Amino acid sequence: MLDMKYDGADLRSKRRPRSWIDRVWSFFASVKVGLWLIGLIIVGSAIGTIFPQEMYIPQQLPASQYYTDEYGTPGTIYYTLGFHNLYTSWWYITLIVMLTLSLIVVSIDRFFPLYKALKYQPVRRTDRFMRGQRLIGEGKGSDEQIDAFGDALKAKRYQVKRDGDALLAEKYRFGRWGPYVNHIGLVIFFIGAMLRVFPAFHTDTLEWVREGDTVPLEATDDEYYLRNDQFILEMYDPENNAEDAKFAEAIEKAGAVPKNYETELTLFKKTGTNEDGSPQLEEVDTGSTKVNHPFKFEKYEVYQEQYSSRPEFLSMSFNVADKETGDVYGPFTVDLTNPETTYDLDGVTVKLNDLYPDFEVKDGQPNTKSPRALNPAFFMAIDTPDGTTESNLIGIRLNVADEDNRYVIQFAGTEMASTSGLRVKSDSTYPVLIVGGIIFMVGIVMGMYWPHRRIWIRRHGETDVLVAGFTNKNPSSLNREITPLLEKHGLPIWEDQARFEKKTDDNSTNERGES
Amino acid sequence: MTKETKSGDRMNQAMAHKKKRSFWRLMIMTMVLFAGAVVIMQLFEQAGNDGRVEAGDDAPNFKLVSLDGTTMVERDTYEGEGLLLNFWGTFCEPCEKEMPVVQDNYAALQDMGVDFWAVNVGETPLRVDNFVNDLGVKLDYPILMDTRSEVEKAYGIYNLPVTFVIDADGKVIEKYEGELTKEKLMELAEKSL
Repeated sequence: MLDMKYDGADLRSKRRPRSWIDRVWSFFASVKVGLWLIGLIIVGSAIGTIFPQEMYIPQQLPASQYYTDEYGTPGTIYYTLGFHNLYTSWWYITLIVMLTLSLIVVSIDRFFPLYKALKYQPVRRTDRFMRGQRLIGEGKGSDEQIDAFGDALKAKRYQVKRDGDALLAEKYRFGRWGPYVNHIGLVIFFIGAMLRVFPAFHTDTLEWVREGDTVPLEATDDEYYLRNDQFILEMYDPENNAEDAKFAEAIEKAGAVPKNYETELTLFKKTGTNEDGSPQLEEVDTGSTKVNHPFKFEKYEVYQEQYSSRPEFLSMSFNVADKETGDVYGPFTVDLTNPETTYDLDGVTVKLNDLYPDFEVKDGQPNTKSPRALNPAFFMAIDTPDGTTESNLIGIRLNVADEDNRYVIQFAGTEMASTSGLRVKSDSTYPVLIVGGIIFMVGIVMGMYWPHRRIWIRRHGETDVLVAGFTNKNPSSLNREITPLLEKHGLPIWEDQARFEKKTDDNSTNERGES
Repeated sequence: MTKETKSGDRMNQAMAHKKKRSFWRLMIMTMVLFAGAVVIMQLFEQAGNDGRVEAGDDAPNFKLVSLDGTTMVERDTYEGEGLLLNFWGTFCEPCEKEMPVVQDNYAALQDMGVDFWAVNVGETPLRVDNFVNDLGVKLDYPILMDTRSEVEKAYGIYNLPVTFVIDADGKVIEKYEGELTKEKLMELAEKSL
């Protein structure tokens, strides 16, 4: 049987290479190379799922340390080869670029010869050609039968062409373009994927914003600032909420179940810079972001992604009580980010001698573990009206003072701030990806559901005719469509040669379709 | 027209056709590979731009006021030869240990034309003041208060202490993480020149 791939057209890549351009062209035009590239991309993608991608690891450690600390040597290798940022690692992109080139080259290499071969195909084919087809029949027949058969094929929506006694009927040729349309879709898709590397098309950053703080958004190149007005964490409350009560049983089993994570925020635009280097901001918008309901501005989306489970203290308030008289002085408030050192309370004066934002005792001395106000402790001295000074070390569940002290310091309140982790994203490549995806699907459907079918008939000798059929898909279906017509018009019934040949076209791969 | 010239014409046509095709094939391959190269270059550029200042980068500018409130420094208007920009916290033990070492050699650094700026990472002046007083050594070099942690963020600080070696042009020559010894300090100072 004949090799009917590309209709026997002469492929540039299959010629003996003459120049280096030919060689490179042939390399990328090879289906084998294309399959290898796809294989490597699949394997690479699979390995990329072994450890988490960089965007999913904790933010406290740099990635270079995290993978080594967490996964040892494999982690180091993983990080070094860029698997932690798979889709933007240089070798992954290189593979994608090569596959893109391969798709383009292979399509040009195949499409144009095939297009020409089909456009200029003769109606009258040689004996050898016809006998080389998979479906072939030979037997008695006349011109009248061929004419009648041609009309019957027209009724089946075949395009029928005649050349003397020869007939060519053809339909669904456009099904042959399916793979090339499909490749165009893929190439557009890959272009979209590659555009994601450029910040103009795709940004993705996580910003930690404490309540009350305003931060520049890196994704917008510091053009916009966000203020966290309030972080809201609601739990399901079966006791006080009738709506939630129906889940009471499940909540009891699971413990506290969060109902809503939300950050109320204000968006500012930078309009200039003050003399001290601080930005001049102009309020643009207010809104809120909940899980799966991002706050949107321009092309950016702000997602509620994380929150810090330990809120920080912004300020703490205290009273000073006189144990003897029961008088209470105060309250006074200590701002933890920028504390005053003296608090005058009409009679007593409190001096803040030291402040440990994250209190611990180290080597017998009070100290701080970090600069974050997670567990503040205060070293305060009270100047009493008597002219004495009493020292106190006050913290959470901590009050170290002399028992003889006349004055005690009492907590009067705190102001706390949660920190919200907001994901700021923009992605302008979606339209490109969607268009690429749609074209890809159109190509698949074209190739899958419209098999290219051709039927040739010509006289052979005085009384005989040859009938040959070609399809690039599902020959039994072509058989079912045409065989009854052949019978009806008394033409020889074709047979499927492939049924009798185990190895289809090993010996004829070098034969061209046309002699 | 004779038969020969006809076939010669056809030959020339074929040759021209072939040249044209070669040109287009080369163009297509070059364009795709060039686009790929641009994408990969962009990747490398971004890899070096992960929010952390490293050797080879320009030192981001900042303005900070010293702990005693008497001086304000700005990175870009610094006029010395080299600069050692150090980040520290009161909660960091190696920071505490290196401070007297830096003080002992500060005069020598200044003679070389190198200044040493110690940026505190977002602590309160009260705490830093107490800490510095408890050190037992009077520090002559400026302790800069980054109260809003902006400079810390701009330099992408993870580990303390860390010292950036910055040359007269404002380029980061080296980023050294860890406690400074006398030898290390002088070595870094040399590098900044």
